[in-house]
Amino acid sequence: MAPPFRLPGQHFAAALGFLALGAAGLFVAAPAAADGGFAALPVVGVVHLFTLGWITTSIMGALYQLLPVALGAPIRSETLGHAAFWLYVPGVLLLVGGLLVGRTLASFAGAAALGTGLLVFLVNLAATLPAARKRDFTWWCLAGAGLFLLTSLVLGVLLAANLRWGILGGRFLVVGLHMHIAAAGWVLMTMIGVSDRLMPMFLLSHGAPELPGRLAAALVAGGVTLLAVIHHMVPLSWLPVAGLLLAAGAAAFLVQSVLHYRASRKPELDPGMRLVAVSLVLLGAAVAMGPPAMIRGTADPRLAAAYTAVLVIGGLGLFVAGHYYRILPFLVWYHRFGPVAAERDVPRVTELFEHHLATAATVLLGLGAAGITAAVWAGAAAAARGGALLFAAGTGVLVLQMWRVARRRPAPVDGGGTEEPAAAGAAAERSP
Amino acid sequence: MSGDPGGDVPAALGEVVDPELGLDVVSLGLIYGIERSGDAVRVVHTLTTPGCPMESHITRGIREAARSVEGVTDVETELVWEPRWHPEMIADDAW
Repeated sequence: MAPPFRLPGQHFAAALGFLALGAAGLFVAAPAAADGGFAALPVVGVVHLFTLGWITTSIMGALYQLLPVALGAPIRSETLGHAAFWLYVPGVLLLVGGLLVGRTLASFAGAAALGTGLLVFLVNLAATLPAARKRDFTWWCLAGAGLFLLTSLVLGVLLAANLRWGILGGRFLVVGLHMHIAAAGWVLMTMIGVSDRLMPMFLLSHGAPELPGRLAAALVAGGVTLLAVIHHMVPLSWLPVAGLLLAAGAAAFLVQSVLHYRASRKPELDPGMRLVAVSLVLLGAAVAMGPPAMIRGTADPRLAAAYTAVLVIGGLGLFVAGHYYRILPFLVWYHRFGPVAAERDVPRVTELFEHHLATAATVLLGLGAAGITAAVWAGAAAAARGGALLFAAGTGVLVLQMWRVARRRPAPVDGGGTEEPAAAGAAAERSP
Repeated sequence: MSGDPGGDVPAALGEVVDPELGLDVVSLGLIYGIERSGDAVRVVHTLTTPGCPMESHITRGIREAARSVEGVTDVETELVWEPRWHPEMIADDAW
């Protein structure tokens, strides 16, 4: 079943733009984070550039590409997908712009637009899931992730109201709940579900034990559910239980990932899966830092900021980045080179980008994310800027490579060569 | 491989490369059977994963490669999922 081209493609383009903005914003906001200002508006703005802009836009685009493969069911309505996109992306820009310049009205308008976009996306996803070939583990994870995305959206609205009217009480608690429901319930749950399909494909690790992955999904679902009801229906004394469930779930996912990497039949890792491996190391650091960060709370704001950095930028953000080396070249190859592969020589999927540049990006992004985390925790503003600079350099290489991949296409038959870059402004391909 | 592999069909299929993995379909262990009867060839094959989006590309490649063999005019392909493909099916010297 063929994946569409334009719908995921425009999401990937927007997401890479958000990543570039986020990397630039990180350089600006790093000193504030190192000073413990985890709630400072520039820091909050950059966090949302990564969570909403980079990670969520990427996941939405990837799901449009993955659903036909993983579930045997393409997205129910591409029109709704485009509508969600054009509500969501400007909404994120407006929200973050409003946060950065301190315009509450703009932030609320942005939140309303992106929230509507997310709702349209979720309706589309909900209409797609029943058409799946079978309700396997990936199906249940995606269904759960969608539900938790809806939950984090509702809590995000409540959080905004809380900032203005103080209806929910402790701000740190509500921010923490919102962040973890979104990060664990939406992002990590999606990672667990799609990795069950993609890691064996990407690593050739078919047959690796699957129990840790199942356990991860159950633990994360339990922890996020507890978090979602904790504010009104469960005593706050249950908070550590929810936190432990999430930490155990993330740890189980790491164990599952290690099992896949160890079972890999590939002679060497490709650049994308190397970057994913780096992200898993950083996710492990986040699992270790999470409990103390939540326990100390506002008493140690630098730890909270460092934990947020290693989780959002490193563990989740780089996991997504690694997959770009797999999904975007594949999409371009499938739609542009596949149809002419029988008639002329075409490059392989992995030959659409330069591996040594991908390795450089992996090193820069990994060192940058780790450096920012360590410097923020230590309160070293200059070092945090240094880490942000490394991260921005890695982002630049990644974005440039993806831009070049997106422009590649076969040469005309009489062109003499095997391919040429796409003409600027060329019409986007549609699904075959 | 079952049946009469006859002619150069296996060698021709060895030119059909999975564009993601960079290995040909024979080395990958995707070809489960080749039967040749006169000018007709029947190829039974699988894919690395159900729902593989490369299905049409690989199947077309198999058909065209088999048809390129001298004396072959009729090619039939059958995609099967049993036995399920496993990385152990990759030839030892494939990489």
